[in-house]
Amino acid sequence: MNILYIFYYTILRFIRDRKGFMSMLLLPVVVILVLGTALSSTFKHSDISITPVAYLNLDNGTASNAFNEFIKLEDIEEIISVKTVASYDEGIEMIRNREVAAMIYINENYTQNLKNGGTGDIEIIKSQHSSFGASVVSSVIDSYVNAANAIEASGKLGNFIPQFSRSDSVKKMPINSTGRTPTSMDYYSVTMLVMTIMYGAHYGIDELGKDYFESIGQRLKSAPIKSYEMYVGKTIGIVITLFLQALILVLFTKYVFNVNWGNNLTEVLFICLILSMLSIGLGVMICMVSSSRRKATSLISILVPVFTFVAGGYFPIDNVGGIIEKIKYISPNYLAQRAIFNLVYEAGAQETQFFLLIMVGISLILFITSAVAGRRKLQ
Amino acid sequence: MILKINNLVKRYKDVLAVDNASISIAEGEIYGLLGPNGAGKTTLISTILGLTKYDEGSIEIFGKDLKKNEYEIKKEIGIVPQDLAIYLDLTAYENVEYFGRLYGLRGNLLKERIEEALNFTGLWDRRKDVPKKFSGGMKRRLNIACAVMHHPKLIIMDEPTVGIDPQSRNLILDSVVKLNKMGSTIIYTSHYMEEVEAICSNITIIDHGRVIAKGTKEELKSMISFEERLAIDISSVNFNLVDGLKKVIGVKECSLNGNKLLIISEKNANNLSRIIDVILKMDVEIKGLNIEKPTLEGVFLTLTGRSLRD
Repeated sequence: MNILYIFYYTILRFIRDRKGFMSMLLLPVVVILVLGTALSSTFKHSDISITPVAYLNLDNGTASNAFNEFIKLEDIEEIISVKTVASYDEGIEMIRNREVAAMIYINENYTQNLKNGGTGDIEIIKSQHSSFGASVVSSVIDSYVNAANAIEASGKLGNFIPQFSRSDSVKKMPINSTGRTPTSMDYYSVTMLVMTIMYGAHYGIDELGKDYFESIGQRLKSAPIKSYEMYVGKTIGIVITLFLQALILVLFTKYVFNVNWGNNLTEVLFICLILSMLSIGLGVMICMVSSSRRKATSLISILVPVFTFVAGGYFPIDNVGGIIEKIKYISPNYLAQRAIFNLVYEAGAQETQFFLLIMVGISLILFITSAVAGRRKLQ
Repeated sequence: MILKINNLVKRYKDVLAVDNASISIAEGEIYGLLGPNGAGKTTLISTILGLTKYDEGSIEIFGKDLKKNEYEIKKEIGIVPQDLAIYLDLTAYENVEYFGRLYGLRGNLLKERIEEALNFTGLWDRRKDVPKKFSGGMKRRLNIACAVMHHPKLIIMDEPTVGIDPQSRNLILDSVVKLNKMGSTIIYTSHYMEEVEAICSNITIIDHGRVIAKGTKEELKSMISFEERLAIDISSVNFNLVDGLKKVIGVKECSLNGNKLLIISEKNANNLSRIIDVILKMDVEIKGLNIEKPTLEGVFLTLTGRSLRD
């Protein structure tokens, strides 16, 4: 029963603080409007141009000749434009000068190695400046290697295929991108919603910090209530408050900005609820471990913008490569954004479930760590 | 005894915050707990409230061991912390209601107690206002209302009058006495010695975690009082007067500062009438006379070497 009372008065106080409540909503709405309008051209669809690629083949054998034929196919020439170079250094120089997205390199022993039963390597040297182009080249080479491996394997089984034959077994179905990719307003509504929820960590710091380290905490801890009742009642109260703000933001952007939240709004809101738990858990954990509201507030003020940046919250940074590509997975913003985009644009259901599980796991770890740290403070 | 602390020891790593402290408080007392900042008062109060674990000794409250009966004991204690422990964004009524519910009050009893506590602290008319709009004194009174609404047997008041106007201070001091008359035992800490002197029956002085003195006000004063001081305003100066007064039995010292005589006598010398005789015989008129008695501030200064506000 105490949990319910604590929960009720916590929510009552937050709702009564209209100024604080509204400022939490006003900021993301303004940012969505500004970024959504200013960067709308970034989100317009453009045709994918033919990717230029340098090519150096030092092998004169039959195996590499097959590859020479492959890259001259009409279908391949629609994707990549091959520029033959005379030396390895020339190809590298073209990459440096951003003339090509990658270089395909076949060494002089390629055919001989294959004849000896070894492996023949087709190397791709990728440009850091064109990760998309480099990934296109990789895909083309992968498709060749897969086919070549299939022929090789078939030959070893005795079914040697004497020559490469091309047939139109692929049925082309052009994809209509309308309604399947986010507009700038759609994009920033998701990322700013996620950022707003993450900033809700401040609620956790303020409420639990106040009730633990300040005079009101002395009164509460002197009352005949169990510490878990206080912890649970407060936490649920703050999580629900934050979730209400997320709900208002989703509905506002849906009906005022006409943002596409897909056909799974309930599931989107469920992700918001899980992220609210994670965010509050993060705030409470940092506060309990640092034993200082001020330190915890400063840390969250640094962490949330960093999480938002690496997750592409301020501007999309997919396929940028490098360190950001690796660390984005530790950003809760990235997990939540991907889960929401997957739901809205009906892609990667398994990935969505996986990301949700990770978020629930992180939340549990954060709350358990907070509880342990909180108990240790009582000495 | 409503509270019995035996040989309590509390260490924070190498610091001995409470050093073998023993205190007994009888039911119905207003008990003063004095000590300079960092003396160990807060640690002692925290251990009584079960907020801080102690290393050695024992605490019995209402005849029960605190460690074994913490939950039951907490129901009968009210705490008025030094800093405000109220929610500034809940109304006065909701603040008292919230803490009342946490102490297990429900239904009509809860409503009666809220009204009683707010009337007691003079805040019933402002019950619908949030404390953000209150003066410092009103916030302090709400702080008290939240602590007493469940009729605790023991109330701990940690500097409840810090930073408020004299009118609110008098109201609070009156309410402390009323609460005591209504049956609550009170532990009262303050930096204002005159408050402690006015309302407390027994006093303990703590310094460096140790109980350095305890007893009634008179007992404490008699510990340091070996002499009596007499200040007399006179109409004119007569240089034979000082020599004459020094000859009076029991007078240890006599000095003149302008038209003011300062006479220090042995304790219980009973020589006041003889001193007055000597002055009048020298044709000097007495304009004013003040017998300076030992104060708790003096006791504190003597025992700790520090002023209470240091």
